[in-house]
Amino acid sequence: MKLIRFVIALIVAVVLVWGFNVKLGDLPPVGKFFSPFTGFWQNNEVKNFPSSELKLPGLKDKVIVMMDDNLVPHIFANNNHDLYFAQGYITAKYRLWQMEFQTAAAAGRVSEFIGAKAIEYDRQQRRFGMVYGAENALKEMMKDAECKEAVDAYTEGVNAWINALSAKNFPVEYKLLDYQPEQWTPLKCALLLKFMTYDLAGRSDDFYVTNILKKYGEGVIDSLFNGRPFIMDPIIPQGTPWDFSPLPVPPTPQSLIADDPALPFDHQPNPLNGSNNWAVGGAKSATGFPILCGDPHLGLNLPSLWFQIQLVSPDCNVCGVSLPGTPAVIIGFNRKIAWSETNVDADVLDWYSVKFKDASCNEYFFNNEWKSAAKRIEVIKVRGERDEIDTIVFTNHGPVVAMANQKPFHEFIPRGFAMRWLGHDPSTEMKTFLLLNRAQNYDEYVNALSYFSCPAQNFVYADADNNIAIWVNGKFPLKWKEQGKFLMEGTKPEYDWQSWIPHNEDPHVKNPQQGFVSSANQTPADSTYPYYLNWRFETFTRSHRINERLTQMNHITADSMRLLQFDEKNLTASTVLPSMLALLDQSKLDDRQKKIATVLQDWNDIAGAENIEQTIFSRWWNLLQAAIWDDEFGKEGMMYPEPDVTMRTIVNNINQSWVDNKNTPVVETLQGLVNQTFISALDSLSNQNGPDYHQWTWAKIKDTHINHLLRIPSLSRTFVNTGGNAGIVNASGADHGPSWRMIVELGKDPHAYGIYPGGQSGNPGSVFYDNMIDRWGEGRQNELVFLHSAGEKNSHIVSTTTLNH
Amino acid sequence: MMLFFLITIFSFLLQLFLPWWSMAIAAFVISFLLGKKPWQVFLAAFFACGIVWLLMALYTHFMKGDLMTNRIAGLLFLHGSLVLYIGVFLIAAIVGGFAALTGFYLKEIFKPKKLITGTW
Repeated sequence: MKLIRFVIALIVAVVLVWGFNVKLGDLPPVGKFFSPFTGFWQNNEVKNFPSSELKLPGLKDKVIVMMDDNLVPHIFANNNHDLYFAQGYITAKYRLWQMEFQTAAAAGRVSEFIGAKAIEYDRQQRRFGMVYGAENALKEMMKDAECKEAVDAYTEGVNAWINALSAKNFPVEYKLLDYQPEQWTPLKCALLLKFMTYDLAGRSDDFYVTNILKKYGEGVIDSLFNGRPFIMDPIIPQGTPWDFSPLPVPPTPQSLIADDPALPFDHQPNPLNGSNNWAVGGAKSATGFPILCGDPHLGLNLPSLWFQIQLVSPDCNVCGVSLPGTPAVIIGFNRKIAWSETNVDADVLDWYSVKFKDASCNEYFFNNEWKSAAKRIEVIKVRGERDEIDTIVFTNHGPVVAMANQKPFHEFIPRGFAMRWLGHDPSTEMKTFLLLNRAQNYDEYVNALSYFSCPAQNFVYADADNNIAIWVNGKFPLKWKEQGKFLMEGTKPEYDWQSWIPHNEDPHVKNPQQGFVSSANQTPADSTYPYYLNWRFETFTRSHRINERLTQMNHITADSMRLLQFDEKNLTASTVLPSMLALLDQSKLDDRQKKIATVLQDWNDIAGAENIEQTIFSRWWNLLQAAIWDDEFGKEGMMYPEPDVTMRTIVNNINQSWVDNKNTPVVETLQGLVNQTFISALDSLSNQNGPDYHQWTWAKIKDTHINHLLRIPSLSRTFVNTGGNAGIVNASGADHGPSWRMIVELGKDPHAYGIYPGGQSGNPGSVFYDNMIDRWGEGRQNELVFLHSAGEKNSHIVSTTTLNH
Repeated sequence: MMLFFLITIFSFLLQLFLPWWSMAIAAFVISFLLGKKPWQVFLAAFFACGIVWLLMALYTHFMKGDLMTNRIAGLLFLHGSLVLYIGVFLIAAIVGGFAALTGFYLKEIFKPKKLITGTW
């Protein structure tokens, strides 16, 4: 009896302790997580800035870290080793979980802590060759003494923070998912850069265009998928002479496409990353010195992609934003120069058909002989389950991302094709940033850029000696016209990338007549440029609006630039809405519909947070595009023509055969579709938001939100009241947009402003987790504190920490 | 009352250095050594462990604020964080209570039969 009582009590106690100590399903371990000693309670944080002194083994000398009132560290080191050691240490202090999560996501290691549901995602990352590419990049990086010093020191700094961390101080995400930080490695710095490469240059529409070519023929490709902008306003101003004699372009093979049929599957939209940057020369600015502006548009998440920092050593004093997980400043300025990037979207990802000898896939056919394929074994560790083993087959072109019998993770990936991707090639992008951080003049800027390979970026530049410039920069394969627009034949060498465009023959311009330079992902140059970079670029709307305004503006100040970054003029509406309204047959509308048409008639095309016109136009335009193209191009494995083509169709009332819906017996006209989609736009808006159209304000319908990386609502900002949209200079979409806005006024001393939609701390229990979001949504910016020396008095500095060696 | 104070003090001290379940060890050992009646050890440990967690939670609230606490309340679909404080008390309380009972019954096994004074 006594024994039974004891055993029962023991079992209950053990079950409670054990049950509260392990993760059950998606719930964190109850005991660990709720314990006020070690659980989430410890991640609460009040705003206080103690100055302190601290010993950090591994440093070579003393480092001073001054924090400003926006939690931006200003690091003063006596050598570059200590500079990047301290950058790693401080970044890990505020962003450790995000650094590990993003590099794990790049490497396909999410299943290790999420479990089996991430296996397919992880497999895709491995098959895309993300780790392979990062390893190649790391090898190249480590050959360079400065890169090696920076990466090694950064790694030591991150690990110095991790090693001093006790479980109760782990970021809350580790507690929620019940795992712990592991040691940082140089490979993770490379993986983080590959994560950006994948985001900006890891997509391709070759598969879709090939399917369209096969179904509709070359004439349709020439008329609808030609990439010709509605308004030609390239990055390099038209008429700029090229200061080189071009290399011969390799001959174009007879057939553009591979012989193998392509196999389609489920339809998904293709996300687009765009950005703006520009610099105006001294002649147009109020100060007589250049002003440089930049806002990269990327997925918006918490913790934020960017981390503000100032890095000072004997040969460097640079301020701006860094990417947590990799050393140096990525977008920023020093005393003499400023720079910012936008994505080029050059075609550096192509697909080659593969002919294997047999089912073993050990040999493939190339250049009239059988060659042996390389195989790479990938082990995906899965939490609580057996390891998942995957074998990736490589041909001379690259990995076969999806074998002929495998369902690809992303729709754009064709089955049974090898991927040739510049992201796999050895490269030293980090060298570019280390040099740019220290560059003092135009020549040093150009030299820094020459090390950059992928993802190609439009680097805008301005300096205190009154120069402005832009360079469409990256490593570009020297292609025959439209090489790689379609899936290519992989057995013949004439389809391969054969050489490279020399760096000084990339499109670039310095101090152009017009007094400014700009880019917004549009076509880099007009048809006089001798080389092929891609068949399509971002539509003209953002770039044309920026150029239009910069041409008009004079006596430019930082504040007028701030307003231009927040400009909400919808150029798509300016282009097509008058034609849409002219085609609208009022006699077929009821009174309410007529009234709404009048509202649109009076609209100034501003897509502000409070505008209802933008809501109506946006819905109408999307439905009209679908009504024109969906019957022919909405199928699996295809895509709609570019918006430019739709604009031409509507403005010129052409392409009647495409306008007609093949699925109905009647012949539709553009006017009919315009009426029909106008009414269905109003009906769908009424159904979703109520019939009172005054309530359809744009910010509410667009619903900009900034999710935590784990998509947990209570750690996210679920609504930001802000205008703009994709295709508008203020490109704030639902979950995508200006991830950092920066304005730098050059001069004797730089004055800079900036903001991103988040905060410096990655801890959701800190006020600095999301403190900049509302200001960002209002289009305001913070003054960026730029210090000259560690002793400098500045009213924004709130604490000083000394790190001793 | 003695039992209550001892479990409070030791479970607090142990948890400063050891994982959360060290409070179960404190409740178990102290009940084994000093326990007299099953309901007495259960209640003493129940309130001691619960109060240690509740006070510690309140302490972090005053020292570190409640930004994270509110977010976790939101994560659990709670309106406000009051339920979290009650929950924290109960989690520690039942773990402590059953650990104490286990300690007490273990002692009973080794005791001569005539000295048994309580049942449960």
